[in-house]
Formats: sequence, C-alpha cells, structure tokens
Amino acid sequence: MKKTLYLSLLIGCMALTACENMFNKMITYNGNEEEAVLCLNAEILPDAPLKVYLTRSWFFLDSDRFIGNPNYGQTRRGIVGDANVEMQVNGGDWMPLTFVAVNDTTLYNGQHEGKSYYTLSYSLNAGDQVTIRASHPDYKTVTATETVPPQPQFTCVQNDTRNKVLSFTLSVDALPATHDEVIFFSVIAYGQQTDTSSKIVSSNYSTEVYVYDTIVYRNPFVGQRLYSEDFMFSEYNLPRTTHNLYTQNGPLFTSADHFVEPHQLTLLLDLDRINYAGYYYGDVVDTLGRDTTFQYQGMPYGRHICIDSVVVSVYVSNQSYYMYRTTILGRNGTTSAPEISLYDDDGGDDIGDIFEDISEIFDELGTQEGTQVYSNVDGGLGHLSLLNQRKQTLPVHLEWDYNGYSYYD
Amino acid sequence: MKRFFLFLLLWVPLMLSAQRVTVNGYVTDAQSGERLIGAAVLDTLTHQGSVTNTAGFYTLSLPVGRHAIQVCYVGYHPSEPIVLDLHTDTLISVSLRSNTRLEEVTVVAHQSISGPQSAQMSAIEVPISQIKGIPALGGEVDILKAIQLLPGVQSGSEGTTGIYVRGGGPDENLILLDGVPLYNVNHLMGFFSVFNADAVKNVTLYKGNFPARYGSRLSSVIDVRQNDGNATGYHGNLTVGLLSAKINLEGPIYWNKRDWQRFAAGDTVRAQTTFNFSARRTYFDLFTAPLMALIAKAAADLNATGGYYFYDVNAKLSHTFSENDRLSASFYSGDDVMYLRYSFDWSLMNELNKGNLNMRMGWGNLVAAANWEHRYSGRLFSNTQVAFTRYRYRLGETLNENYTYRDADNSKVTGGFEQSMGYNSNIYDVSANTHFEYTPNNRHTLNFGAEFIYHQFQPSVSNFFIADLGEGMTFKLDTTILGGELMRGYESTLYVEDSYTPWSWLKLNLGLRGSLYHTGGKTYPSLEPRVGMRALITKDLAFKASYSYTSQYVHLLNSSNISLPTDLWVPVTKNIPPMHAMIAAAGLSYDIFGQLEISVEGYYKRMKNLIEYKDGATFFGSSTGWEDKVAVGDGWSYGVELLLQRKVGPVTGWIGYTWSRTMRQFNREGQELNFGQPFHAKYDREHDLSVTLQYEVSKKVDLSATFVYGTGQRATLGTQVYHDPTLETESNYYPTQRRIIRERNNYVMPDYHRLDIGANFHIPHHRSGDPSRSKGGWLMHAEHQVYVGVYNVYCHMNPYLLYESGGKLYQISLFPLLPSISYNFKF
Repeated sequence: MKKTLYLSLLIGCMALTACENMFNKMITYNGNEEEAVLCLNAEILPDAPLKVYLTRSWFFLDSDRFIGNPNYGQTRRGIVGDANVEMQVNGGDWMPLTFVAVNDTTLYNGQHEGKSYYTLSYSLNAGDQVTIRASHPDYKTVTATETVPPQPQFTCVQNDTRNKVLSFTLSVDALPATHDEVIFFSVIAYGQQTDTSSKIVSSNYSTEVYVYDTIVYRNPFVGQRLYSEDFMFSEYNLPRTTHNLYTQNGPLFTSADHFVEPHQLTLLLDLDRINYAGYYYGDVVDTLGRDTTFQYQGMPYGRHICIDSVVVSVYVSNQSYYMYRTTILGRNGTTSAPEISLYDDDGGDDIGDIFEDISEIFDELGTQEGTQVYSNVDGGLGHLSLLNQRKQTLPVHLEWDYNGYSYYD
Repeated sequence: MKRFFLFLLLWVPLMLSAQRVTVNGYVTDAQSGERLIGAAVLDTLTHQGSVTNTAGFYTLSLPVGRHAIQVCYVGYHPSEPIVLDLHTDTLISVSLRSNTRLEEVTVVAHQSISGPQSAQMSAIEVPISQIKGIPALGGEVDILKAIQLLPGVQSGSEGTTGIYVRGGGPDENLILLDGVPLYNVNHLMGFFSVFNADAVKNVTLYKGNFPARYGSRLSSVIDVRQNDGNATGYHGNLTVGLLSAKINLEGPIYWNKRDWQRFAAGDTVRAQTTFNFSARRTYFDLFTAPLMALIAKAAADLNATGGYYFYDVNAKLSHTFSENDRLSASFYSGDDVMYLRYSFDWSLMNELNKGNLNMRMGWGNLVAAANWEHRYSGRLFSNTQVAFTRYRYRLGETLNENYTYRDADNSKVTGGFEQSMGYNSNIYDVSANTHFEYTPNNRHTLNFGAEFIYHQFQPSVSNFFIADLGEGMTFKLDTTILGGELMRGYESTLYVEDSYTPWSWLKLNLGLRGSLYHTGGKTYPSLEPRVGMRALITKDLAFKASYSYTSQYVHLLNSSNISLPTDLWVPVTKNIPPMHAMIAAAGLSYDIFGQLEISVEGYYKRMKNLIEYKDGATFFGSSTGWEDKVAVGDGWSYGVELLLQRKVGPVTGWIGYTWSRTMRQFNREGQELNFGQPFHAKYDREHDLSVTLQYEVSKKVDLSATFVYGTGQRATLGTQVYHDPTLETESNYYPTQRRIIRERNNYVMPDYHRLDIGANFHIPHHRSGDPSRSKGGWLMHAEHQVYVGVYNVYCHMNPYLLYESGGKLYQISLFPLLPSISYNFKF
C-alpha cells in the first residue's frame, strides 16, 4: 500500500512539472508551403470600360502579406503592375492592356496601394469569346476564357403605385437552352428629395426590393423578400445609392435551372425604405467604370420626397461569375435566402441577428464547412466574368412628405 | 432412383436427429440470478459447444449417450462438469460463481465471440468489468470511450464519444440499448455517452459482417444490454465524483408474503421479479451558476447566470414466469440542458428599458421497451419486443421587455415587447420485432425473424412569436417560419441466418436480410447478403473471411468533428436515397491457452449515397429544408487491424493497432464537393494505437493505464490568400485578403497521444473477523471504493481546433492534465 502511494505521488510530481498548461499555442505548420500565383479578376460589361485587376497570392503564414505589425491584420493588395497582360477576342491577335496606377487617397487606406488595373479600349459584343492572359517572370502565366452572353430581353408588363409601394411586373424572355448563364437584376429609384426649405438635398437613391413570382415553377424566391445581404454583390443590408452591381440585386436563376421558359417577376419597391442611407459622402467609382454617383448621408426631418422614374436593369452573366461570387463570399451553392428575414436597420438585435449570432458561434466551433473558392483562371486564382445588360426606364410620379428619423444627421 | 435420393434427403436427417438430443437451459450468476450473455457451454467429451444468447439461453445438440457439460464465462469460476447420460432433451440451467480475480481459465477453451472457434468475424466483446477499470475523463467510466480504444474504431475530436468504424461516419453505427436503437448517445457535446456503466451488463461491438438480425446501419453494431436486477438480495452503488453523482439499486420483488418472510429471516430466496434502477446527474451547474452570476455582476455589472447539466435514468423490470417465459420492461430517459438567463434594467436620457432574456438549449432521448422471451422447446427460442424511442433537440429564446421613452413631441410613450424563438428537431420511432433461434441439429443454428419500425422525423422546425404591445399599437405574430415538415417512414424487415458447420474445421454464417423502406410515395427495397466463414487451421488458429452488404435509411448531418446536438438526423426521402455499403474482410484469429487472443484482419469497404453538407452550409437558416443543403456521394476505406487481448488473469487488457485510409468523392452533377475530386475524410487517420492494461495488485488495489497514439485528425485549411479588388465595397476601410480553400480536409493536425492512469482502492465496510459481518444484513459485503486517476498524465496538449492569426498557426487544446477522484459505496 505504501509503495503504491509513493509511486502515485512520484508520478504526480513528474506530471505536474511536465504540464505545459497552454490551451492556445502556436504550432509549426507541417504541410507544403505553396508558391505565390497571379490572381486575375475582371468583370466586364460590353458597354463599360474594360478593367482587369492583377494581384498576387500569398502563403497564409507569410508575414510579408501584412503591413506593419501582423497582429493588427492590415493586409496588402498585392497589385502586380509590371506584368504583361493581353486580350484575345475570337481567336484574333493578342492585344496588350495598359496598366493604370491609381493612388489610394481614402482616409483609411493611407498606406495601401490603390486599386490599379489594366485596361484596353475595346467594344465587345454578345457572343465574343474573350481570352485574357497575364505573364510575369516571377509567376506562372495565367489565362482565362469566357464568352460574352446575349442581352436579356424583358418588358415591363404592369406598373402600379400605391401607398409608396411601386409594383411592376417584368416578363423576362427565355434564353436559349444552350446558354448557361445567371440572370440577376437591379432596380434603382431616381428622384429628388428636398428639405423643408425646398432645397434639394440629394438625388439618386435606391431602395430595397421585394420579389414575388407569379409563376411557382422553378423560382426559388417564391414569396420571399430579398435583401441585399443575400445577394452576391453586397455584403451589407444597407441600400446603395450607386447604380452599380453592388446595389440590390440577386441571382434569379442559376444554370442548374436552365431558364428556358418566359418568366414573370413582380417587383415591389417600398420607397419608404429609401430613408436609410449610406455611411459617407464621396464619389464612388463604379468598378465597371460607369458614372460616378454622389452619395448622400442621411435625411433630416421634414423632407419632401418626389420620385420621377425607376430604372430597371436586368443583367446576364456567365455561370463562373455566380460560382466565384457565391464561393468566395462563403455562400451556399444553392439558394439560401430565408423565407422571412427579420432584419431591420435599427442596429439592434432582432430575430435575424440572433439567428446569425448563434450560427456564428457554431461556425467558430467548426460546424460549418469552409467554402472552396471557384476559379476559372488556369494557372492562378480569381475569375474572369463577362456580363451583359439591358435597362428600361419607367416613368412614375410619387410625392409625399417624410417626417421620419435618421441616424446620420 | 430419384425417389431414393428424395428419401435420403428427407428421412436421413430425421433419423440422424432422432439419435440426437438437445441440452438447453440458462446460465446465470449464482449470487444475483443475472442471466449471462455469451457464456460458453461445452461438452468436454465430444468437444461440441455453444454460447448463450442475449437472454442467457443456450441450446446444444448432442448424440445420445454420456456427456460432461461444463460452462465458463469471463469473470466467473468455471462450473464443475455435469456428467450425465442423455437420452431425451434435457433442461440444465447452470449458475456460475463470480471470480473477481479473473483467474485463468485452464480447463475449457474459451469460446469468445472473437476467438478462433467462432465464425463471427470483426466482433469484439469487452467485459464490463474491464470497461469499468479503464481510466476515465473526470472519473466518468464511459462505454463508448472504451470502444474507441479498440482497433478499427476511430474517435472524433479530443474527448468526444464519436465512433468512426472502418471509415464510416458517426451515424453509421447501430447503438442498441436492450435491442432498441438510440439516435444521439452523447452528453456534453460528445464528451460523455448516455450509458451509465453501473446499469450495463454486456457490450458487444460488431465492426462488420454483423449477423443478419442487425441492420439499418452501415458500419457497426454496438449492442448494450442492461442488468436485469439481482434476484436474491438488494444491492447497489452510490458514486460521487468530481463531475457527477450516480446511484444504482437492484433487487428482488417478492409478491408472496411467505417469500418476504423467508428473505427477512436471512434465507436466500430467488424472486421471480427483479428490478434495476440507475440514475446519474452532473452537478457542476450548482456551483457554476452562482459563480457566473457573481463574475457577471463584478466584471460587467450584469445580472446574468447560466449553467449546464445532464442526467440519465435507467430502469428495468423483469418477471420470470417459468423456465419457458420471461417478460421484461426497460426504460431510459436522459437529457442535456444548457441555459442562460439575463435580466436588464437600464435608463439612458429619456429612455427606460427593463426586461429579461432567457436562452435554453436541450436535447435527449426517451426509450421504453417491453420484451417477451419464450422457450418453445429445447430447440426453439424466441424473443419478441415492442419499443418506443423519442429523440428531440430544442433551442429556445424568450425576451420580455418593457420600455418607456419620449417621442419627438416630448410625449411619454410606454409599451411592452415579447419575443420568443424556438428551434426543434424531433424523431419518434415505434417498433415491433420478433426473433427466433432454432437448432435442429448440431450442424445448424438458425436465426430468423421480422421487424417493423414506424419512423417520424421532424428535422428542423423554427417557431417564432412576437408581440409588440406599444401604446395604440398591438402587433402579434405566432408562426412556424421554417421547416415543420413531418417525414414518415415505414421500415419492414425479414431476415434469416444459418450458422452451419458442415465439418468440424469449417463453420459458415450464411445470412440474408431483406428490407423495405417506404416514404413519401417511394419505396426502397434492399437485399443484404451476409456471409462469414471460419476455417480451423489448428485447434487454436483459424482463418476467417466475410462479405456483407448493408443499407441505411437515416442520415446524420454532421458538419464538424465535434458532436453537436444540432447534428440533424434525417431520413431518406424521394430525393435522398438510402446509403449502401459493401465490406469484405479476411484475417486470422489465434487463441493462446484460452488466455490470450490475437487477431489480425484486413478489410475493404465501399460506401454509396453518403451525404455531407455542401460548402458553406450549416444547420441554421434553411429555407426549403436540409435536402437543398446536402450533397450525395461515395466513399471507400481499407485497412489492417491487429488486436491482442487478454481477458483473464491478474493482468488484463488489450493492444490494438490500425492502419487505414478513408476517402470520399462527391462528383454527381450539381452536388460536387472538392470540385468532384476525391478527398480525405475528416477522420482519416492513418495510424491508431491503443494500449489498455489493468493490473490487480491485490484484493484491495487494482491499477490501470491507457495509452493512445494516433495520426492527427484532418482539418480544412485555406493555405493561400489574395486580394480581389472587385469585391471591395465603399465601406471597406482597407483591403481584405480572402482565404482560399482549394481542397477539403487538406491538412493533418499534429499527432494525438496521451497517457491515463488510475487506481482503485477497495475497502471492505466490515473487516474480516469483524463479528458484525457474520450477523448478515445488507451491509454484510458492503465495500468502499475510492478511485484516483489522472487523465493525460504528461499533459500533452492535443489539438482540438486550428486557426491562423497574424501569419501564425495556432492550435486550441482542451484538456491538460486532469486529476479525478470519486468515491463509490457498494453494497
């Protein structure tokens, strides 16, 4: 018995001295270190300036990817400005792109390179096969090829305005079955708002969109209210005032549905929602190189609202665009918009936030599979996506006085 | 000529069998009357033998004449040979005396389920006494953790009870409690299982080639049998440890006043009715809840508290009508509860807010079953069962708030707000089955039966209630916002298996299981052959081979290595087909003098229609349900297992080693994972070694140790980052590099290893020679036991999670060196 006791005590002392007592410790990576590759990213519309972004990748444990102290998490863009970037259309000659350096003057981006890009003045047409190639002595050459999709055809079938809710129905024509594209849309309401002294405060604002489908067949968004956070272009649920791809829009159909029948969509715009605004003033340069738009900050009390027109844009993109966007933003490959999203913009917690908080807790425990990022760039990372669009302006006339409450005055 | 052969075919066996008789009966514990499962019954003269079934019943077909029947069982003294002249079917029930020292069995070759005599392959029986001796996390003896130490069985994350058998997932294991399947067998995220070792009599693991009577799962069967109860006296255990307290009581129920009087007078009276009751509850919430409240108040001036606890209750009632009939009823209920309570009362400028928030998460099982065992004759035995199973998971939140504020006109506005949210997942099973064992002669033992299960699944239901009771404005909404769909399934099964011994050196297990699963207007049929063979090379050395095909009609959506209650059990539907697996195995089994068993097995397994969450999917927030979030694919696994096991003697235990590979491929159109390329499964761990030893130093002290070593688990690491300017939005303060994941489970975490040790001290309540001991009474043989153990003796911090920060890789570990102590009073 004594022998047993002394042995137990001896083991106990040894064990205590051996105890590292470190629950969170740094370890050595024992896998293969991956070489840096070129990352080519471009989203090209035929009627917009062509911009190709070329950056480099880093091994995730490479501290050079940080600016300053890595613990602060400020990372570099990694723009590669001395590469040879060329474009070929329909198997023709290779055309070199020109590098355009952009200085980043934003307050918070003081130390970083700007969003420099490569460009070429060229008009693409529907059906053009485009190949972009980038080469650099320090990296493997990358190429990507896609085809410009056709313009979508749609008509506004019905237009109704009641109680500051604009309702109109679009009939989007069928696409030929051979096309493997994704359709999405954006809707912008244009008008003016004035303060009580009739001074024009701002123009060009957008709003949230409701989507109801008049045909049940195949539409994953039946009866669902869509918010921008569910869409692939915007990570935030605030309305955007720019009429670029970061406004409220979303994929109507994926290629899995092979949209082959005419489809009607009823869109409801709650124009009262436009009273929630963006964060800051400033010119925003659209990534597709379209018009810059002045963003307003907020609306004081006692405004008079007048909506003159609504511009509906319907876009078509390659499947690769949708695949890339959904995977890199960590979204499920299929539709995952909740039937009722109970978010509001008051900044407080509500049911939607609670769902999200709980999901995040479980995500941190490793309950969610990481999403593998899609790429159609051979030899590298990123995506080449070609899109097409058609716009239609719908004249409306709505006026009302707004006495709401804004956070941003 | 034809008629002659027909005569031979029909009448000769009858004539032969007419010269044979059966010896049958029950093998029981001499002291408690507990029926013993898997006891070996051998005729020492003809060397023909049998083993008892789950009811403790055996049948042995012998030629007319002189025989010597002997019975042996691990942990018991072998019986004295019963010499008799057999001329008719004879009922012989044998009681065995417990042998706490696990003395070597030298007389009779041990006929264990895994030994060379058995045609059953890939099966391991672990004596409950051995399981109780294994050092345990927090001192909590755990059956599933013990099973994780066996070769071919991988564990999930550190400390969890996930069982991954030969490349199969945690849902591919049929875990039975007295024949009733359980769905979620985990407490505390899988750190402990629902099995209270004090209530368990026997545990058998089938890693493959399980008999045709078992089905509905692909990879393994873990058959856990509860104690029936002591038929001659009242006994129990009271255990108090660091994490939980538990109690076990068993004893007879005398209906007859005379029997009571005789018992009270000190006679040994075997009751026809017995009971066994066990209960366990953790109690650290009783300490942590007030502690949390203090800390919340001191650190952040919050009125908040929270806690966690789990409990299990097992009960069994058995009544033996006669040697031919016995009826028993089993019950199990267990729950995990996690709660958080927060109350607030604040004011800011002109606004007042007061209310409380309660969050509660709970999950648990309820099982109720009734069994009827009937002996028709010496050759025919049946077991009929009806059972009910319920598993549910609930997550709920309620918020009550009263507010007061001043509006733009400076008018006072008051109101109230109620909000609640609930997420539920439920499974209900009602089943009925009957099983027959028929032994026509010494060459055949037939098992056949039928089963029917009604399944009702409700994978996820989200309810929402909100009522805003502001002045002049009342809004109420009470709705089911997500899920709610009830899925019904009807599973019917017929099976037959024959244990056939054409020659003494060759034994075959031939089985066929046919099942139908009907759901949503679709019926899935399945025919599952089960073939096993054993060829004796020598008396102690056997070559075994097997092939089996299995089907599974339920899936577990598990998106992580840890076992979470949010892991959803979902049935097959018209869109999601059943899973199937084919496994072929071969190996050698060697028995050394009935003391040591060595086996080596190689296997190859293919699985079809496996499901996994798609990229980025999680259990929450589904609009159209889980079917949209999963991909269907295939998998394969192969490996070699080595087991060296000793069950008798002062030193017992086992050494198990496994080398294996497990892969998955999801390349069906629209359901690609890993871009359709093969990838390693999460729990693909190439090497796995377990050494478990128990040493009985004396009657008062026994020591134990467990060492485990395994290749690290797999994790998915995004090893490249880059910046994409097209993703930037106006509110990005600075560029964000995106993490790129190119392959699932692409990284092997650091290897896992740890050493646990334990010591049990037995102190008799009465010392020998104490006069009070001789007076009898319920404390006559009472004993105090003190267990002292250390989990992770050399404090190796095994990885639980990995993450990257600031260009460095970190691991999170859970358990350092953990001492434990528990006290058990046994009477």
